Amino acid sequence: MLRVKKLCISYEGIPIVKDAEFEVKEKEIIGIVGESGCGKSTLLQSLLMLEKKAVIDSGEVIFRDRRLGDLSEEEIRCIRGNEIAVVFQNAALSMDPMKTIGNLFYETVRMHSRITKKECEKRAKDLMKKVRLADVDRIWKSYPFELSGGMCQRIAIAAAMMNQPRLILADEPTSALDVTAQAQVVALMQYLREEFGTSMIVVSHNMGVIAQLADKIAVMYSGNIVEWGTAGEVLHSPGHPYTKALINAIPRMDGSIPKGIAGRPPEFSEKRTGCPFAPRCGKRTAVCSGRPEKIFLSEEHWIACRHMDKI
Amino acid sequence: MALLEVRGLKKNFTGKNETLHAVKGIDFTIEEGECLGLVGESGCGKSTTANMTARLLKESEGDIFFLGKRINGGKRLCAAGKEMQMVFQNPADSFNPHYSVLECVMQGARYYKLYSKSELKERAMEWIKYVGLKESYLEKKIGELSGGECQRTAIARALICNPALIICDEATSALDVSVQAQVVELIRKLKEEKKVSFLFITHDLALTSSVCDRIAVMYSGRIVEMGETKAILQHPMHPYTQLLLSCVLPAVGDDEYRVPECSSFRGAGDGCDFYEFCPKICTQCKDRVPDLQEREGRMTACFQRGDPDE
Repeated sequence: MLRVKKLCISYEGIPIVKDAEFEVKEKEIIGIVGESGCGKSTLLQSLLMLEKKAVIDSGEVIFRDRRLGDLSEEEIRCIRGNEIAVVFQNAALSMDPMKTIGNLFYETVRMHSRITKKECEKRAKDLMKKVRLADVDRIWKSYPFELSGGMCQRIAIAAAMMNQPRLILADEPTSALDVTAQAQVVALMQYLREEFGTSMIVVSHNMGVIAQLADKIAVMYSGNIVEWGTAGEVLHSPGHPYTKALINAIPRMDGSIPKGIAGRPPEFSEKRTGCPFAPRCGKRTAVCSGRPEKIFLSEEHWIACRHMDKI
Repeated sequence: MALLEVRGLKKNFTGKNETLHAVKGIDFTIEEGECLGLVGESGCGKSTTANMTARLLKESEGDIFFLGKRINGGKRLCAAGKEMQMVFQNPADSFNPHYSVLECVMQGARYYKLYSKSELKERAMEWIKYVGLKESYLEKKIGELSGGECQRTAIARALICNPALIICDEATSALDVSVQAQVVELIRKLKEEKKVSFLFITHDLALTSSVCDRIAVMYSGRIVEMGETKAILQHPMHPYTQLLLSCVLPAVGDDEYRVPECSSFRGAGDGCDFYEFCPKICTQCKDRVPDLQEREGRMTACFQRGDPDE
């Protein structure tokens, strides 16, 4: 449904994302993980040209047989919100504080279709009941700041679903929430996929969220996708040294001590040649100064690393 | 006597029309060299408790004993002194942006006039090295540091006063996992080598398992369960702790998680705060607040006496 080919993105002239390649199929949830500043949000936002400063240098994004780069601003706006919807990290901040939730729903729908307020209200309330939001009538008249963070996030997702988009882009949808609210949002997103067959791209640094939601996972480091595969493959038999280190750094319930990764990621302004993870990698050798190549570990599981033999 | 003892601490925020009971009376102690984790959801009162303990906020009721002395009650806040230091969630915001790393760390001790000028600089450099920052960082401005490096500087600033207790209010929550793990390593090292005690506030339950000796679970302004970290994480007794643990999303492994219906705060009212959401209510729950009582080696505030894991 959505295919990204050799995508390179720069931000104010500095190259950020390099040669990103992946594909989203119908009904599939893709998870993009990585640490702050690895370019995962930039990648997501540039798919719909949400950020003016992030410029696509080369490569293409193909959504249902249309090259998004060829479309006019007008046509993109038609796709945005209608066929592809976006959910941001802090839902309460992405809503107009002067408008009630009811107005918010109405505005979202009216952008793309002719609909009366009554009809919109009925559809929105049905949807909210389906996503198990209690006390729908009170919510309809409330302002965003009168609701809790978890509730706002679930409403933002419900509003994104109003036009029945084919694809939802979610940028850190659970990161500002407590564990209880996180579980609620994850359950809601799973329900939407089952019920409406919506595909999703979820960006998060929370491995738990990605593990529960995603079918396929892309691991990003310093603007490059370093590993790609099904959720099981990436989490249970990771191939890339960075993925392994990242999984070891997650705190566990069993009292084992999480291991940090020494050093810090390279600055984007530095000239990059070779493997970006090499300076922090324990398996580094001389070949790492060359460009890492894709190595397929199974049909759909690949890593960008030169050390196939040592893995 | 324990290093820190908190007795019957309460905080009410009075508004125009209503009073918010943020902390409804909590008791805990921290022994020397111990790390107590305070966990709970946003709005349950854990930061309010930390701020009252550090005397940044005036309590409504209750007593705080630190190093054998009662430290609350006086007119002045900030009386906890050099022995009790704090590390905040957002490291960059708690520094003066015009200062270099060295100046920031020295500032910590300057207020208490602990050292002479030359000694101060020496000590500061020593601690900056101890927390794992290279010498090239000394003259860097705070804005040039990454989140993890900032947090190390904040810990160095706390350490220069030789504190007996460090209060970490969500000190690792804004950091990436790989950096968070580095800060956790540092905290463990401090506990072992320097015998510093910690009050470690976090909403991340998995993190407590590697940092804390004991944890206290807070809900709606009260401690509902307190005991050994391992015992609580493996066999939670209070229904709220059980619920909280059941909705942690596992990153690796096939554990199931549960989707809860729950709110983290309930205003003043009769009965147990968790009454509305609890799956195991009995007749007493609605009318009386359960006391924190010792049972099987830990403290639990629940009327249910049956098997906890059922």
